[in-house]
Amino acid sequence: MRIALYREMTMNAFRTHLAFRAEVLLFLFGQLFKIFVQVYIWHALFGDSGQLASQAGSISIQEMITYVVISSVISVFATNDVIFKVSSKVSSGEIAMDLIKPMSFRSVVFCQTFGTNMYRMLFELVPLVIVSLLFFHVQLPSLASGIAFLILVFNGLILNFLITYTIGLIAFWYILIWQINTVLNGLIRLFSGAFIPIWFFSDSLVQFSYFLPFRLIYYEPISVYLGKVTGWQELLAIVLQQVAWIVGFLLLQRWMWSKAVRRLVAQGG
Amino acid sequence: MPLIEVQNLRKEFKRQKRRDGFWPLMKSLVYREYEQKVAVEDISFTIDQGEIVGYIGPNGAGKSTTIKMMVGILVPTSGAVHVNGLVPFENRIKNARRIGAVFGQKSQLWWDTPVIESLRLTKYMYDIPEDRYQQNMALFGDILGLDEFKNVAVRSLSLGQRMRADLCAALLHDPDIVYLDEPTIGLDVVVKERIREFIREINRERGTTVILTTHDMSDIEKLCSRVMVVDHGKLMYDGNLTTLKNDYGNMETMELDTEEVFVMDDALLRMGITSSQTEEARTQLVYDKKNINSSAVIKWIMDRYSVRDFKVKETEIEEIIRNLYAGFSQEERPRQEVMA
Repeated sequence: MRIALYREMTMNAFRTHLAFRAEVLLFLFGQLFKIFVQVYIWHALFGDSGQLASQAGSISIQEMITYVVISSVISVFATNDVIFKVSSKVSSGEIAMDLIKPMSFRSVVFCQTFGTNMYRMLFELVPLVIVSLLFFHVQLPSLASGIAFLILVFNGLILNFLITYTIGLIAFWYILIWQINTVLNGLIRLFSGAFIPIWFFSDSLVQFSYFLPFRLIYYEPISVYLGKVTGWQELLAIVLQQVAWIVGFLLLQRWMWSKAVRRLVAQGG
Repeated sequence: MPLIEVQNLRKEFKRQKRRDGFWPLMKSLVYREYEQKVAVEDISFTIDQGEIVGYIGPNGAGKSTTIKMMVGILVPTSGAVHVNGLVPFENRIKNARRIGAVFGQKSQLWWDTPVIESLRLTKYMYDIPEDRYQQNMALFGDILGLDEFKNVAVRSLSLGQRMRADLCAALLHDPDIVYLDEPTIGLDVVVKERIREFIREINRERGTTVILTTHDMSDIEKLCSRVMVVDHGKLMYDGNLTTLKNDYGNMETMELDTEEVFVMDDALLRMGITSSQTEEARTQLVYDKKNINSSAVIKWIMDRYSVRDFKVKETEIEEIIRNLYAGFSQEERPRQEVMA
């Protein structure tokens, strides 16, 4: 098995990050700022009432703050530079060096991303959770919701990687595609519920978001965490949707890859 | 069965035509023109196990493109490549396990990782058994002198160090074939010698087949039993080095500084000087080594002129290729007499 290889590749990416210590603090402060800003915006919006009506019934300020914190936690993992990475590998010709190795390109990118995630878990997630627990009143889920939440987040992150990787492959056709990243981030921000929960969307936007995979990364897992989704049928429906999107993107990236390698023009030399 | 079989290989690239100026640039946002560039045109050859083949040609001749097709990175437009009986681009990962490659311009090592860690990753990458890994590391580390920089991150290595580390990484898993694309580019004489020694050793001890491209004639002379010359994507010569030099590399150039102004003489032409060029005190004479030797020429001149300085230059590889190319086109157009 190649588990040892993946482990080593991942650890290598992890260690690489450790070499740049200044990043640790900068990342951390960036995340904390974002949380504070969002928490106070929601406080202002809720005003004195402490309750707001929404598509999912009445939402309390506590639930909203918990939503913000959990959303930030997920974003620590879901924010990746896969599109940028693939694009720069193609434009610099560095991809040739990945292709002479007996390993699929997808695995190379995945291990690098996963290593980065592990690093972020230690140096961003842990401090983030500690600070959030100290300063905000974060609700804790029931055991069942908690387990379901973890499963959904795990699937969501795999889906997130596959989406970014598949889009990254467009670089084989257009070489420089960083702007696609901007567009994608906009889409994710809006339709995943990362910033504004889909509860507060208008009907048409809610309908639209169901045709996109992004809500399966943020909104649905957080809803489960908050106990808004409890029935096991509903839960199963979410998992099935995630699996369907994952399979869809797996097939899509495989098809794109088979086309992409054929058009590869190794740049420079 | 030969180890590598290349038949009628061809690779075309589509390249966007770019024009200068504002309006053409604006136009290109909407409508793009492309041009076809043929990088490799109808190349065929076979390579047997244990050969060291020098693959030479001027910049942009199609060397790297051919190698990238053999490695499996590029897909041929037409024609076929078989390595170990496999089609490389269809079996990229399987093929990659049995080959090593060094592209002089780029590193396959992990940029931010210390050399030793980077090499350890190759161990997992190719499933090298621990004892074999230790054995190879000891041997290669010794010949290549890796010890002095093994704990340094790859990005901080000097060019020569990086090249040595890359060579080591390419050979740790005992590949059948190693492709070296300009492995000595930009290196000093000492490092070059070390790398050549290493390549020779690996070829002798393990029977590793080596295919190397280079612009350095001494790489070829010291390593290769066989050379292939490409230019404009075509294979112009395939054979051993001695024949190549005898057939195309026998011209010598003599450069003289004389006190008096040099005047070309019929006697010299009769001796076999094929061209001369005089610029103030400096004169260049070109002649065929097979017809006349340099001592006869210099004797004739010293009898008549006072010579301040002179040197004799052998044909360089670029020159040989130029001669080769001229030789090809001469078949089509009438031979021109060389002028004095």
